[in-house]
Amino acid sequence: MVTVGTWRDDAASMGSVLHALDDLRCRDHRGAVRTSFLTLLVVGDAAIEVDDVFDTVHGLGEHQPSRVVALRLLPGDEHRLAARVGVHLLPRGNQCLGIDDVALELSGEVTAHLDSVVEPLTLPDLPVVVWCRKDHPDPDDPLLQTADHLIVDSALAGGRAGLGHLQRLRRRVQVSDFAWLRLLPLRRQLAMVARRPGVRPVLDHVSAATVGGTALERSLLAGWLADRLPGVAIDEDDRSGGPSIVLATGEVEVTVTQADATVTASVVQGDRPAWESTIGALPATTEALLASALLQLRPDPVFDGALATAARRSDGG
Amino acid sequence: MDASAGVLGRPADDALAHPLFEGLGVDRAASPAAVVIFGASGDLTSRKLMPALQALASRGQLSPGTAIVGVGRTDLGDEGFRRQMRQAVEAAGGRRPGGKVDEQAWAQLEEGFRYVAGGYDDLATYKRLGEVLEDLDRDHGTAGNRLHYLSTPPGVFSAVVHQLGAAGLHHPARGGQFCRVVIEKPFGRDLDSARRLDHELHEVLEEDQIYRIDHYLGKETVQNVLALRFANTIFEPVWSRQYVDSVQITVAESEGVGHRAGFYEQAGALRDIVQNHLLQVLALTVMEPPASMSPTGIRNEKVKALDAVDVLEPHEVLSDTVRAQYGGGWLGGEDVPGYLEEDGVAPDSRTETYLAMRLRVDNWRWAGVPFYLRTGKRLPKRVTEVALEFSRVPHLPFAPTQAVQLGPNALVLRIQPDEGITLRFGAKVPGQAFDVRTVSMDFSYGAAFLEEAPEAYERLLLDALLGDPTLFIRTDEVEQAWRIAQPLLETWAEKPVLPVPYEAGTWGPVEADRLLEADGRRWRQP
Ligand SMILES: NC(=O)c1ccc[n+]([C@@H]2O[C@H](COP(=O)([O-])OP(=O)(O)OC[C@H]3O[C@@H](n4cnc5c(N)ncnc54)[C@H](OP(=O)(O)O)[C@@H]3O)[C@@H](O)[C@H]2O)c1
Repeated sequence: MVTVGTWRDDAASMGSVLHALDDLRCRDHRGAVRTSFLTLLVVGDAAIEVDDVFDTVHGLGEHQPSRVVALRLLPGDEHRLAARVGVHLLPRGNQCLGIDDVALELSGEVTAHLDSVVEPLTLPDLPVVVWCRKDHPDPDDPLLQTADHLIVDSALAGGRAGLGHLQRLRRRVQVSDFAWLRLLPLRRQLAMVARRPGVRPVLDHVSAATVGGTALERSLLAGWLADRLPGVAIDEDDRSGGPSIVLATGEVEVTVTQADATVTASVVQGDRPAWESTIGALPATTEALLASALLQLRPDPVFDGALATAARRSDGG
Repeated sequence: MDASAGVLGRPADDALAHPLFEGLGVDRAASPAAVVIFGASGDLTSRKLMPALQALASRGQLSPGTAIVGVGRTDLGDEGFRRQMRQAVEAAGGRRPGGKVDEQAWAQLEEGFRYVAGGYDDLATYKRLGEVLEDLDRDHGTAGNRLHYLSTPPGVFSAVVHQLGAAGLHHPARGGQFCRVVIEKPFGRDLDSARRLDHELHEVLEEDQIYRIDHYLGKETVQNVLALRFANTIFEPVWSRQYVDSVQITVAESEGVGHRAGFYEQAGALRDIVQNHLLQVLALTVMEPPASMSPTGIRNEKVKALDAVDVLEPHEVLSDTVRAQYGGGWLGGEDVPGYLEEDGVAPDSRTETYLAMRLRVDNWRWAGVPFYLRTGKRLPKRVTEVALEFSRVPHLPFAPTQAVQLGPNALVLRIQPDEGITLRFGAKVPGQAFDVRTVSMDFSYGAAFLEEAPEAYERLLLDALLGDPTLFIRTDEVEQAWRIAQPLLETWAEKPVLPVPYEAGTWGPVEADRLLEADGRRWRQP
């Protein structure tokens, strides 16, 4: 990645930030015309390391968002708007992709009006994705008015208890949750098992299911199974260990367990183990999860159903 | 098996039609099947087919009940074949940035490799193949489905199909299953041989079992021509003789003949590129909007488009085409040899490595618009593009001196590399004067999406497994394409037209420039 230029000002205005972006882009003719596809807004508190955020996003290589705006919200009433702007080019074949980074540090009243800050920075006509690094935003947060899609990690914010809140957010905006994306290898492996001769009919007659993992993982898996297999009794196994699913019919049990970087699937018939396979799962790094979430900007009815059911189940106790 | 399963969004693999598997992106996952590759010891299998199968397994699009059976004269044995395929996967993985072999996907395929050694015209080979397929159905769950892939030189195609028929391997093992045959290009050497081959195939197979491949159609960006034309309002209204002055289609390669001299000496640019890739791109460019994106809808329109191409008369072959052969020259900082100095090329070879032609498409939409097609080896860069040059505005309200730097508007569809669209238009030069100059605006296809485009062979292999023939060439399309190429072959045979020379690293011979200059036009510099 080639940096065309950087600019910073500890007492900036949005006008000066926009001017700096234009100015830096004009410095390199290769950035004059470019293909853009989304704006990513990253929101965090004082603990957020803006450079880490940019490193993660830059780790997506040529598939990174065209503009990343990182908002670091500081406590206190004193007005502060400090800005840092970077314009970069990523060579790709004979062309270069333009990438803008904008880091804003804000405190005071302006933090209640973040929409007015980010609106001028979003790329016109293109999706705006808001990634909340830690806490879930309030459903009435005006920032969500600019957002087409929200990315959160329930494992860092809210956990099981936060699913109800997340469900309220979901009513406002499309949501991706890293906690849900981490369970994907488990669901994929179950599909692989189902494609083995003889296993598929078992799934049509599941009478009971047990899910394991952290409270949050159990909730999401139970919500998903309850939504997908209505009428099946679902138990939670709260012994420690990675997320797992056991589906049982009369005499066959299909088990899938995720631990660190592997997923193991087994089929047990009566007392006899019929088949077992362990596969490596790609590590769920933040980069990998972000890439996966950015790929899923379309509605995800399966997650929506799982979340709604999980929220209902946890509200109901 | 429903031939269109998977195309309609329902998983082709029935095992995945279950609420638990929705949202996993497995709706284009293939059913269990034995993929039988004839000529599996060859270059295409190692470079393209095996890496594509591995990539499909990696995306979860192959069933665990998938087996890969190699057939050929080289006696590799199951283990040798598996080892060779592993090397192919490693080599392909290494080509991708940071690429490593997906061991999980490999583990899924590993147990399903079999190899049957024997001659292609020896019935005993097919009897043994039949036994191996039955074993796989029983032990590996291939479920009676077969995809035969003919990756041998074309001279062997009809022998393989004939023997498949003789051994009863041309139909599915059980009712409701599928048996399809993929035929590599080239399909025939001329109109007659293509018809003969087609006849021989049809003696054994039904048309809906035959998947004639042109890997160009598997390229995302070739398919994107359809999306661009038929999903947007702004392009289609100007896509006609009313606004388009001329169209240029270029398929340029910077490579020489390399190790393919044996094949290329017999083929030349006309058979290697024009009859298939170039005419396919032409068909997608000029076709009318299909009523739906169904296989029949699209292929009917492509056939109609090719049918509207005016076949050149012999005298037009002489005046409207330029046949050329590269000499030595400098390309990309390297001093490269001429065609006649390449290994395996006859010292007096008359094979063309460059062909430029002017065609007409005689229908309501395109009457009067010249189509300039060119392809060549050892051109300055590898590029495939379709460029529509638009007519000039009827009246320029500027003084002629103000618009000297203004060219005609152009819309360029770049198919490879740097896939995308360039729009060329006039803009005012900043300053006190009102000077207008041409500028261009680029859209980069790859930069606009996070998704990785699958390789052409991945797409096509999966389509063949799913039973979606949209991107394969139907028998009448092959015939139409040969109809257009045939007068060139005949005229060249009757009045030997020696290829004119061009220097490697240039955009072709001066004769090709003159072809356009005679019409008051110039070739684009891609
Ligand atoms: N390679 C490419 O990139 C490419 C691109 C487009 C189309 N194609 C087409 O794909 C097909 C396969 O291409 P390829 O490059 O893999 O071909 P190849 O390496 O020349 O041949 C494939 C295999 O066919 C067998 N074979 C070779 N010559 C033969 C002959 N005269 N008679 C009978 N069998 C013969 C050999 O296997 P055994 O000796 O073990 O029998 C060989 O390993 C061809 O039809 C080609 O036109 C290839």
